[in-house]
Amino acid sequence: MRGRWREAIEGYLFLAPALLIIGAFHVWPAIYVLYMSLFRWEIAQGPFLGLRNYQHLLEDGDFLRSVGLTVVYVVGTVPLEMAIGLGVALLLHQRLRLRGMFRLLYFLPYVTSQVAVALVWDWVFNPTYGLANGILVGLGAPTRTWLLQPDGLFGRDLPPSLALASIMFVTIWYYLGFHAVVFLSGLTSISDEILDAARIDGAAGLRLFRHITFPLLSPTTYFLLLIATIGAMTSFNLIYVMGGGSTLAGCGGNPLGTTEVAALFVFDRFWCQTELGYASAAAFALGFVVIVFTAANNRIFARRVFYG
Amino acid sequence: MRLRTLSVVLALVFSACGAATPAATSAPSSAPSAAASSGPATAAPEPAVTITFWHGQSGVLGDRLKALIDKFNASHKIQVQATFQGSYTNNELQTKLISAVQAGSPPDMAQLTGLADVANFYKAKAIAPLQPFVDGPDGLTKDQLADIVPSFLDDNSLTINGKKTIVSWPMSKSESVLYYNPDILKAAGVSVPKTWDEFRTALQTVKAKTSFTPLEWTPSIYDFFLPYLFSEGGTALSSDLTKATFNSAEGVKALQYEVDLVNTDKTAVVTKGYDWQNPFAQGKIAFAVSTSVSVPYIEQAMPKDHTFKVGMAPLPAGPKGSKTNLYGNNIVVFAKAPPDHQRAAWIFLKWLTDTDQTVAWSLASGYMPLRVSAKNSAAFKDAAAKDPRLLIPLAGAPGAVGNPASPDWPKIQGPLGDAVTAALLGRSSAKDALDTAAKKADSILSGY
Amino acid sequence: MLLAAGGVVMVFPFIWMLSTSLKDEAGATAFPPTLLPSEWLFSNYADAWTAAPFGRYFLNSAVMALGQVVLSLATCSLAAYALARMRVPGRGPLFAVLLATLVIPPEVSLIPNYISMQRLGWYNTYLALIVPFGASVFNVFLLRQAFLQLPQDLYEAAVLEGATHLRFLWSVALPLIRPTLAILALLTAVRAWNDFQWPLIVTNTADLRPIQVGLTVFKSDVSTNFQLMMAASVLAVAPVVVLFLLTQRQFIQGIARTGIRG
Repeated sequence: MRGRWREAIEGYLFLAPALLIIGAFHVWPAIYVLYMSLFRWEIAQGPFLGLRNYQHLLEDGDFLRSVGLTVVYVVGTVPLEMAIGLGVALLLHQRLRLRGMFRLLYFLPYVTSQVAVALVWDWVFNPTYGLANGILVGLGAPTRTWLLQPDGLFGRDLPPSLALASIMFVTIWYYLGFHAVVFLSGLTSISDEILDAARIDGAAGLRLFRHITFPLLSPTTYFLLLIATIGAMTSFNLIYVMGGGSTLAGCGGNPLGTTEVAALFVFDRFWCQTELGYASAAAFALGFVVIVFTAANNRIFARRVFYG
Repeated sequence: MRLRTLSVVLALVFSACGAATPAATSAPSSAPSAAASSGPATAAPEPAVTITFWHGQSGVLGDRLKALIDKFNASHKIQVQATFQGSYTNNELQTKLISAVQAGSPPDMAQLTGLADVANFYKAKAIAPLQPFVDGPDGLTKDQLADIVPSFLDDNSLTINGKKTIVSWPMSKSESVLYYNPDILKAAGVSVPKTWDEFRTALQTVKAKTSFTPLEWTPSIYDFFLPYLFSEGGTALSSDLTKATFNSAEGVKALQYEVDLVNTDKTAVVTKGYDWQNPFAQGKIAFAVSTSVSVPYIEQAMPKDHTFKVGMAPLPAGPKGSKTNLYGNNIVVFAKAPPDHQRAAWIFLKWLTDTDQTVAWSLASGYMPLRVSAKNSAAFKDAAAKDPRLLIPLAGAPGAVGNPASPDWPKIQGPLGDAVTAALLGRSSAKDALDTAAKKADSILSGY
Repeated sequence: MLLAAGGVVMVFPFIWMLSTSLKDEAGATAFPPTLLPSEWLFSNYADAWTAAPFGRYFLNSAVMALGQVVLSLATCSLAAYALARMRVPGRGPLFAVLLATLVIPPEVSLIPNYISMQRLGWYNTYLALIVPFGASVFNVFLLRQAFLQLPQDLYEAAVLEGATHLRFLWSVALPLIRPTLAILALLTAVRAWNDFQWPLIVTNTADLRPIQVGLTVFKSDVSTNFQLMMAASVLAVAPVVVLFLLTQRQFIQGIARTGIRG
């Protein structure tokens, strides 16, 4: 019994430094944001509103649209970047020549600052002198206006707009290397003995992947899915810089709000329109959606995760 | 008596430094502040305090501002500690200021982007209106006040208790102007357009006679729609700031004009941010519309073997003359600052507004001098003789209009920008687009 | 082949960055775009380097990144070990709470964190740049995963020899999960290196500002000068690339060599 207590106390001591930091700089702000969301809070704190900010969110067409766009953004990026990342990791896991160089190539976007990344892609998508239109001209196809185009890919008013789709493409490009590297570390942790044993049993190629490699990778996959989804749902920087930022009027989400995903909505209402309370409510509502999603995700996937 | 002697001494000190106009400190003020209720107001000695100033001027402009402030610090007991806190065009400075206000630790003074932001900070009781200082013993005489460009003062004034009150102070002001490439205009045989009608014809001629892009610009509401609207006699919001008026007949005409250029005449190409600057610098575009401080950016992008002199002109005129949008920033003094810091901040701002300094800052930065009389100063005359483009923003200044004084304006500019985009894309008629935005604006202005 | 084709797409923007950083004004925005500069202007790098105090920015970024890596790996290893290997009552719910904190966008928690910095007196110090990122849920999660994969008999053998948890963690567990540590060090350093908004908010003077703040400021100062901007961007990316090359051997080969079961 005494050993148990001792271990518990020791355990808490182990946890203390991390918990202190996370508590002070992640949990406390969340509580503070919750508090702000209950007030009319512009630059200064105003009257107590109770849940009225939340009520207003449900009637705010812009907010609802931003939630919809977030779903489109997540669904359009996360599965692709993970699938391609896994593919790249599998290829890189083989004994290839120039393996180290390829690893670097795929990881390069992720290590580059988003300021520089946005600048480069802004150039690629520039309607008058950009590379994308350069290629279209070369192919004899009509040019497009890319980041300025609010018309949807699948119909004028259906998301994603060409602008958002362009940003989604860049998102996939940017995060692919991150997934590849984490998958790669997962792959290397699968011991050769297991794989060799499977091979002796006659498993190979796709079968080996489906029955051995993929299940053994499942903790990594599950974790990446979680992290990537949460990351994409709260994704901000790339969309902000490429979606027009402050250059037209307001805080971005251009053109016609078709790139205003939820995190951008929150940022715009918080910092540009200085509706601190209302934006906090939106942030919290967004957080709630993420938690529900995560819990659901847990239910669906956790059972299938194989902890080897 | 003693106070008065002191003020004379102070005035001597000031004039000896060549820093401040002596009249400012020795003349009795026209509207005495509470402290000076008995007899004519006199200035107390300058407080020996260090005040903090957060600004958004980086790079070369930051260095030049620092040089100017060093000059102030060398000649005054007040020490100004200025720090760059992020660009103000990119919302970084504002983010920091809002955080600092929440923490209860704002600087003594800071740059804000425009009147709407000033109104917003005032509404939060975060800033101290400057009118008492303007009227007080350290204030400006009537003549001096009349010498500040009136539209700049309007851009720093709010109506408080039914009275127009100076809340903040102008510092770096610029405005929308028309840029042109003289070589292309010559090739097309077009002269610089004076009215919107002439402008439209000029664009058509450039298109017919050359292979250049007649106009490439970012259709921000500030660089076309609002100036056109004002030149037709329209306004953005009603004078009591409770209703949107940009969907008036004048507004529809203004937006239709843009739509016609882009969709009917096909003489204008829409771009994003400052992306027009590079092709313009390369001599591919005849006209552009943007802020008057763009020349150095265009010039640094010019190929060295193919330069030209960037042409600058006031925006074309409508029935009410040439109107333009006032850009740049205003300085606010924070309510949290102790009284002697507030007063020190004002003394610094007044110094900055003196002809010597405002001309120096204007020539160093490309922003407009704040005084009407500045263009008669020797330094400015010399510079303008070398580069007459300096006079163009000044000519436009009387017709420059800043943001509406509503703290809700930042919420309205988004929907209004969307209206412009929707109309330019042909998604809805100019009238429908503006009506939709106006409906949204009205509901924002009435609060929820 | 597939890899190579993909690699071209991945790397193209960087080729463009590099080549633009060596071009002149006309080449940088020529249409149709050209791949190679007509004249190789290495002077752009010198111009960019001297146009802003990049040396100081680099130093600050390095201090910030290193500080965050060391602190975060230390605190998170301890916490993850406790969650994975020790009988601590309430660790299930605790972990759920930790995960929940991921969902509040950092743009919104700026204000409370700024206030905390002011109250703690950390405003405009390296502490403000390092400590708030001195632990992360992401790191705790991945380290816990790694500790869970260590065989139980290793620990039992150590206990027989009289090792404490701390001793076992330090001399057995951590060396075995070196690959995970290497990845997390890299990811933490990259995150720190590329952070922009927080350092800008909590610093007051150029002496403390990191490279991304410098880069952004530089961008607005020379907005039309693509070649200088690209040269500065290349300079900013270079240290991270070097770091990647240094660490990748660690995390790619480490696990395979130690032969730990997956």
